[in-house]
Amino acid sequence: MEPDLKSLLVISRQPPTAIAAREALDLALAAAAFGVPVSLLFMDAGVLQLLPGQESTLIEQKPVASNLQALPMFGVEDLFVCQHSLAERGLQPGRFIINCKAVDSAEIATLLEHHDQVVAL
Amino acid sequence: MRSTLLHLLRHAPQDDTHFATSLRVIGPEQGLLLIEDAVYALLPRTSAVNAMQLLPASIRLFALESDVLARGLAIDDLPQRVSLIDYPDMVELCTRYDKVLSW
Amino acid sequence: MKFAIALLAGPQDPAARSALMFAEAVLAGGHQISRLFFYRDAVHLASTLGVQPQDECDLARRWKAFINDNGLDAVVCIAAALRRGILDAAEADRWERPVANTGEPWVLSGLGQWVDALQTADRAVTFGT
Repeated sequence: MEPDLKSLLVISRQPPTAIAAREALDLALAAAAFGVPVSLLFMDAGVLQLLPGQESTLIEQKPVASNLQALPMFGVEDLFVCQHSLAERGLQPGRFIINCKAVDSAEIATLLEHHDQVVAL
Repeated sequence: MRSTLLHLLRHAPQDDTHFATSLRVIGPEQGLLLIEDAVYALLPRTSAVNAMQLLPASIRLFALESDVLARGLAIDDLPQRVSLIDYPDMVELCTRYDKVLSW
Repeated sequence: MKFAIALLAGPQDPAARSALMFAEAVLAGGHQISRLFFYRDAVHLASTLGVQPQDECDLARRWKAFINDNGLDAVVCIAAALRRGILDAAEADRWERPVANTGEPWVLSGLGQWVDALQTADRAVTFGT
């Protein structure tokens, strides 16, 4: 890996039914394929992607779960979830499709500062 | 490495969570630029404009003047700490902050 | 400075104009644009088939002229374009569609082009999120 690659934080904000949810994952995976250090933060409705038991095939959508589970295999290992967004939806960290570190607003501010680029999709 | 950030908002705070989210995570020394429908955050007597007034003084606030005027907002009603800018100013702002985050 | 500019919203969204005004100001300010990347509904700007009422602003035409006049690299996300029926001659042929509605100066390519732009630009600015 080249040492001068710019790190990228992708903020995924859309519910699992939106194509945009998949697009955020695609961007993270495309960046990881280039060897770019990528972190992913689930925020706002994006946290809903993490809920287990989504039978999205009932509405003829590809499940987002397999894409999510592929992230660590492609080198996207820094996964975060916004605590505030979880609380707003009555959710608690844990029991999600993939392991994410729950972060509060101050920690998110730090994430924003410490990455070279930030894209919210 | 710590770097400076310009938050670029384009959605009206009344319709969308982006405004509240960005205010929650904005850090000191960062900037906030309102374009397109985000300028509705400047409507007088709204919770959005009050929330902006309460941000630490180290956070600079900007709005694109053409978007403000196009939507009929009265310049006289805007908070003093909001600087009205044009597109060349916006380019200059983007060079002054290390990165730009569009919500 | 080198700017990378991404646009995610379509011609009917105010962001399509904001991004153009910003891009023009970037060049007027003596900076460069290393790449323009059109994603989601912004791929519609690359269509040659839109017809605007004469008294309305034709953003697809203005973007095309801006890209041509300045010899810019304008990448349209191929996956987003195919979904929305924006095809160049090669894709129309490949998918056996009766018409191609985009071509030069637009280039259909993958998300990797955005990643590359994010890596190589001094500043990356996204419009239409």
